[in-house]
Amino acid sequence: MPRKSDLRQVDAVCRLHRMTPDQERQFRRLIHELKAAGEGGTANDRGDFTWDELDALAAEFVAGE
Amino acid sequence: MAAVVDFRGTVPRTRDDVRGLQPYIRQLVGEPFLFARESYGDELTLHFGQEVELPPFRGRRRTEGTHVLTLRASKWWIKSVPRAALVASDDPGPGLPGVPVTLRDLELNPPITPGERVAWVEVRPFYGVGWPGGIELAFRFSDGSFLELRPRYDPEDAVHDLADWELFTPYKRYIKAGPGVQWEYAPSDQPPADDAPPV
Repeated sequence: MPRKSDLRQVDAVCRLHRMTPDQERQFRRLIHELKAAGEGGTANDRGDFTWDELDALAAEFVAGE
Repeated sequence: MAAVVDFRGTVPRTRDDVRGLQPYIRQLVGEPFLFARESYGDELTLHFGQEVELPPFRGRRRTEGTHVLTLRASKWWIKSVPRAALVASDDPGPGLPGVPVTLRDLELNPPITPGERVAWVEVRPFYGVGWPGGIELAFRFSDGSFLELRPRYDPEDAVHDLADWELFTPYKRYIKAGPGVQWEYAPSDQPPADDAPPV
């Protein structure tokens, strides 16, 4: 079942970094791929990302676009 | 007299007139299903059209469809012909038929036959009692599979701020449906001009 709290957190980080809707969609997929590849975050046992980790990833993603 | 709806146009945020959304969602008709992909937060995305390459990130090859449907936090169910099964977003409750399945499983064993086309699509307003409701979405595919999406109501939500679903198109436009019975057809390659307050 989708987790609204996670979606809201990522949406907020994307807005902070002034991402376009295309970038937001790609970023959401990207951070899932990182998590699935064992490069997840430290928020919990699922490997979800903390706010600071998402913020850093978003900055890296936007810089590379 | 005939009419033309330009898929490269835009429509500002519109409340309640779901009929006006119908032409824009119909641009999916005839497009082939490519694959399903999981996104962060257990969100399912469905990719249609042609597969396109994205810029790599940390050396990772990335692709997506020219048309991408994101199901956000909505409830969905798919009558899956290739799997001869019903696939749904929510875990089956105790005593109910069905076994849990991961979105990864849907990536590997898609619920819609790859290559089969969108045969029919419809949007409907869904008015909630005590909450703003949203916009339902229904698809039929040429392999006989069927997808239905309904906005999710969580009583503990203080605000309803998430879109019900989004459809991204190759014209640098996207449909943002919800929250509530509202939608817009906006540029997808520009940051939003403003964020609408939650419904």
